[in-house]
Amino acid sequence: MLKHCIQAENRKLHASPIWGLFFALPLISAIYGTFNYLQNLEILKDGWYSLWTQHTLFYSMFFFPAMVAAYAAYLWRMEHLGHNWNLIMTSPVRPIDLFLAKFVVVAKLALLTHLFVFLLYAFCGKVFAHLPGVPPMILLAFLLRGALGALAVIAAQLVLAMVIRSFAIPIFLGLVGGITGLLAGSKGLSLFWPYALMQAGMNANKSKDVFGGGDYILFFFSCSFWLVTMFLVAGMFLKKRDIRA
Amino acid sequence: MISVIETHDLCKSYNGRIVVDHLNLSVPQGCVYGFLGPNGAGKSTSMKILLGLVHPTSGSVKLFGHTMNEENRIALLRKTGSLIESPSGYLHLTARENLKIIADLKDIDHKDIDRVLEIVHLTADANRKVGQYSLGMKQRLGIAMALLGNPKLLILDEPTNGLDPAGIQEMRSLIASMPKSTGATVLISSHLLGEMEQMVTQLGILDHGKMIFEGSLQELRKHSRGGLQIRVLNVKKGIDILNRQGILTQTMTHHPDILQLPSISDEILAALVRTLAENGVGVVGLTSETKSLEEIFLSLTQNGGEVA
Amino acid sequence: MAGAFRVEVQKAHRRHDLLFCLVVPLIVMLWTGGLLSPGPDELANAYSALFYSIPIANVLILPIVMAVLASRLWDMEVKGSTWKLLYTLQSRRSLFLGKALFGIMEVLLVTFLEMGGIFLTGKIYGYTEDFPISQFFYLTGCTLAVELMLFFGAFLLMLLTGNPLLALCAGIIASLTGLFSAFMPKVVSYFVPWGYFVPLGTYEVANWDQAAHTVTYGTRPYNWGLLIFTVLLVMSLFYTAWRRVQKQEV
Repeated sequence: MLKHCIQAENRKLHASPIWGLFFALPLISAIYGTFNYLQNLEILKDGWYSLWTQHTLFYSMFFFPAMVAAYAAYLWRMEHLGHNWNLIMTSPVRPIDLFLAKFVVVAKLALLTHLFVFLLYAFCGKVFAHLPGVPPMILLAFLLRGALGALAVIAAQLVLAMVIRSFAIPIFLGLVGGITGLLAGSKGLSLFWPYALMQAGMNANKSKDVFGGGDYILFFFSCSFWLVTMFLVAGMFLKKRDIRA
Repeated sequence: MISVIETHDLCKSYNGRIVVDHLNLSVPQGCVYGFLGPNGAGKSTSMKILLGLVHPTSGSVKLFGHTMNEENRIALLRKTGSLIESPSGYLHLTARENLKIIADLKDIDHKDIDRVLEIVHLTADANRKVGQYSLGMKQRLGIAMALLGNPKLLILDEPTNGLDPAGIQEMRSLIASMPKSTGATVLISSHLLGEMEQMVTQLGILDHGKMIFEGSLQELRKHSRGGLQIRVLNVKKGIDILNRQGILTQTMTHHPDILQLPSISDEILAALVRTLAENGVGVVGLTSETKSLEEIFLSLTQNGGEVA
Repeated sequence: MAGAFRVEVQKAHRRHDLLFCLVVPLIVMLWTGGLLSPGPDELANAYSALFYSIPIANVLILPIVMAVLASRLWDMEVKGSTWKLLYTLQSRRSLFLGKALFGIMEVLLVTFLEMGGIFLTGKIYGYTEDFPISQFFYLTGCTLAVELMLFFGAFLLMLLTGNPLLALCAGIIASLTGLFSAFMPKVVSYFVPWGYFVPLGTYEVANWDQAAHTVTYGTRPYNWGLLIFTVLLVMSLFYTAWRRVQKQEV
């Protein structure tokens, strides 16, 4: 049953013009990142690492949360319109499974976006920046860490889009979330706040790995904690709230 | 008789597809005008053109004797109330707040709001958000909005949509009584032909964008008179006599003693009955079929039939 | 027209849009100056720092904010299917003007609160730099002009598609590209109108002492030409939206 839900949600996203964001945002990040790298070669001396930070800086800080917010808002908009809530709550699917289905679909899309970012990065590195060899493979690890950190943000945005019936507000909140993540990061609290986790994981701002040994445990713990919390909140909401279609 | 609405050769086409075809509509004052037509006939589009929501490809519309144009449209429409397709209503506001907005736009005293809420029986729910309303309640709110300010012309598209039987009956008596109680003219389109039959005084039937009949309900019935049924004791003799008179007849399937005749004039009918009686056929019953509005409508629109 | 505006005010009831207009400047101020209490040497050019960073914060946040405001104005009509009724009660022109006026009011609110926030932040933290009055008014004018341009751009997109999705995605992309153009050479930023906050800004980093972590700011001349161009853009977007409404069929 869950599998059917996931397929249904997939179809919803595929049919929409929101795909534009999927291509546009990484592309724009890549163009800017490469350009900025080439303009600042005197300061950015770490080759592949420097290019990486340029490509992923703004992406991980603001635009990924905003993009995820848009996906989440779009997936819930269809339920909020019409009388779809009635349809959902009376179908033979547990409500939390519906939430999970949307989560899986957005997570899949987010992961694909990450990979697309990496591909563009590698391409730009070879073709425009003429960097030697191949990108350090540890960056793929950073990418995966970033994806892990992103899961909490995805869940949080899905909760916001579910609870708030407006389409636009959750997207704005996604952006604000990104800003709070930036602020948390600058105060050293990045491992405690969900919106900062992805940025910390992707190591966007530093050329050396910011994670010491113990930090990994804290990172994984934080990701799991926020993910579980968001799912619990979603479950509570779906159970308690009277359906007002 | 003054016409409240008059259209002259109204046409509307979308990308070469003709939706309204040289429509000449005339709604006399003080009547309840039923606008009928199958789905896709162009009723909604025509009504939208009357309200200036859609620009006609050619032709003109006169409301209250004035040719409607962009300058006088709002002034003319201020005297109307309308409900087209689905009812309107801001979901985040209560019914009362919605009505306040409409009243302000129509330049009407807020006191009228209580009156219309009472008419549509929404007084108890007036302070709930429209987003929480059922379909029937939203429909009633839409009607209330149309009734604000006692308009001289009401244009209603499927006003009984979503209402329960009691609501439909109330709506029917309300609309039927409007000309008398407020002097208003009502243009109403509906699929509920049975209901229409009881409400309307004038009819316009639209098919494929063309008006195929316009006139009073009696005229329509007169023109589409059904056949006759004569119940006789001696069927065989009856058939013989009728055939000799040149009238084709046959018995009804489940009533072997009833002869069906086509529609004939009263004089010929009287002479026929006398002939049958004198020849011992034994006429015991005579009924003239009146086609219901539904039958007339279907025969007109499905077979492209003439109003016979 | 005043009637149409009053009706829009009634429609805004229970909508939290005004609350949103209050929150946005708050976020900008907190981000750029409010959260970190500047050290004593920073207080000496704190206003400069603020005047430098506010346009950058604006370029990131305001495209999305304007998309939110514009889309919400029209979205309520779409959700309530009110077009058919409204257009029999008021002319298309009247509805357009009512909404445009309400939107302009929201934009004014956001701008003035933001500018007021500058003043307030300075007072609270006791900035020692002289308050640059003429720069302040210039910044107000520029912010207002670009915000109006963003608003009417989103307004037009909503009119064209009736779907907030496009306006918001455009807002997100505009934020991203605007932010990037801010850090690109000036020539490039001229081609990105929604990022004009930054090229219009008059403060720039004169010297960045990496060792001492201090930044000194310098000023550029006022960019009147670009400001006038922005105002022209506002007017042409407004006009295009107007024409669009005139032709609209329900």
